[in-house]
Amino acid sequence: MGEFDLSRILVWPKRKLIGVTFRLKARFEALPLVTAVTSKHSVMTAYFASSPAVVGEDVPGIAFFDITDADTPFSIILSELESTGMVKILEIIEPVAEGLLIDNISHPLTAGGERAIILRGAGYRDFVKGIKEQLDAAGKLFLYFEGCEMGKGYGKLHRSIAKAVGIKDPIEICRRVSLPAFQWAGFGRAEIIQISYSGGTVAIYDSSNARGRR
Amino acid sequence: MTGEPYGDLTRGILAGVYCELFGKDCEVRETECLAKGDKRCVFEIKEK
Repeated sequence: MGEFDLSRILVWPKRKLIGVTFRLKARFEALPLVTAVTSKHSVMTAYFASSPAVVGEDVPGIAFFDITDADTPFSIILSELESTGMVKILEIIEPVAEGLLIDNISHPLTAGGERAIILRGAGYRDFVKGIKEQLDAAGKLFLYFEGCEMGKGYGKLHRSIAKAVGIKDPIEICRRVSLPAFQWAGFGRAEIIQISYSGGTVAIYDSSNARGRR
Repeated sequence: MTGEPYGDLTRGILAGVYCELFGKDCEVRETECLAKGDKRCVFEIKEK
């Protein structure tokens, strides 16, 4: 798998776009029934994301559609979608300009039950670089201790996630949760070279932190 | 390129995760770093 854009912004010049937020039934036939309606009306699903942090009766989600070639008004298509009984449309996301759709509905963004913000690499690198340049050795200490606090928070989250699926041993939590979660967060690809109850060695490939200095 | 490791934030994150999961204080040293010209960053975690 290569890069993965977090999306929720769609730039398709000269296309008629529209978005919706919804709740979809957590049933195997839900998505086929919904997409059968959109495809019947020549509506292309340009972007689809669900947000099932906890599996429940239905799943919140967001979808962007290209309705340029649609054969029916979108309001009627929405009614048909809801008539499947599989989806409840919550809000419509109108394009900010023709060919430009931005999710300005979903708020707050969350990750692991906590408020999240999207910080692109350039901003993150400038932030870290600025602290080091302005504060020198104190900046390095500041980043280390801030990192410690962040890491403790991640550790608590990883333990609670692991507990939910029956993993209790800290070494196993590191291997099965913390390692993939590190990459999930975009810090870099991590590899545990060795780990024990007295320490360990971890390799980070393509570290977002070190990239700022290259 | 710089002659010294650059991953202070990552060092801290690893220390915090380890400390939380294992319930032990630790220190983390960066022995290889992209910023020094290495191919990867490597961190050694040792219990204090």
